[in-house]
Amino acid sequence: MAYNLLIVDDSSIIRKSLRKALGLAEIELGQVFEAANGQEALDLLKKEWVDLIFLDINMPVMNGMEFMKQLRGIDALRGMPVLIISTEGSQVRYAELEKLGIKGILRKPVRPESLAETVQSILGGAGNGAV
Amino acid sequence: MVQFEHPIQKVTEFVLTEWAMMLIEPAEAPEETFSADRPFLNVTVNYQGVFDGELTIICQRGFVDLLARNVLGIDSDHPVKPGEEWDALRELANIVSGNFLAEAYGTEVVFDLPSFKTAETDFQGSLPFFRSEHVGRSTAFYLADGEPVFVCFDIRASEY
Repeated sequence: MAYNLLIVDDSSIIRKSLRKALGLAEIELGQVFEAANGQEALDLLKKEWVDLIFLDINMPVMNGMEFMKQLRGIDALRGMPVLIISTEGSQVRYAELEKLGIKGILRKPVRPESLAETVQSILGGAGNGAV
Repeated sequence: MVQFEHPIQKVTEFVLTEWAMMLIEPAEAPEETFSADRPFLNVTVNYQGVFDGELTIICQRGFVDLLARNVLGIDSDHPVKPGEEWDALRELANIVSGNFLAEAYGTEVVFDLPSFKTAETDFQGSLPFFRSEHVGRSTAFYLADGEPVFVCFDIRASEY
């Protein structure tokens, strides 16, 4: 099973480095989509199914918190797994994100091996991966 | 055990080694270490929360070129694309700021990082950062893979 992934971060450097790090994970990658903010991500999700979203918090246009609220309000996308990858260190924000059903949080800078391990643990079980 | 004078030094060292994969050594006298005749690049992050302030990183092209190459895994035979150097510098500021605020003020408080400003300046334009000595200010200065990088953390004067 190949997994489709979506990286949402306003930094192209981070999107590219995450792509590289994902190559280390022992999962079969399908398509890896990119979006520079929450709005771009929502627009993309109207057309494409992904198995896991990597989400930054501080972004222009639509930040990660707003994206999560909107995502959870869309029936077809409500259960889509989201992994936060951000510099955010506030437990208050973490609690808000957990209420919105995120799968986990990795603080930048993220080690490639931590990313690979976390992705494998999230996708290791059930998934809706593209074949 | 290393004793850091200020969390800004601990965090800067951590991010430069862990994320940027650079070899670093503490440096002194930025006015003499930077090349005065080459352009200076800086990025400033304004943060807002229980108090407001800003964090500025000052460097030159040699540093951002190495930074972008290390983060993207680009070897010296291939050019870094236009814009990627600034993107790398902004992201460095983002990661240093986020980690610094949590390290210095704990995880029970919330800060927003609403804006990043980048600018190319010259030696004279950078001097105020090197020379300022007001109370709410702390700095870190390193050679990263031999290239100087200066980090300045500033609480707004009205906040301390």
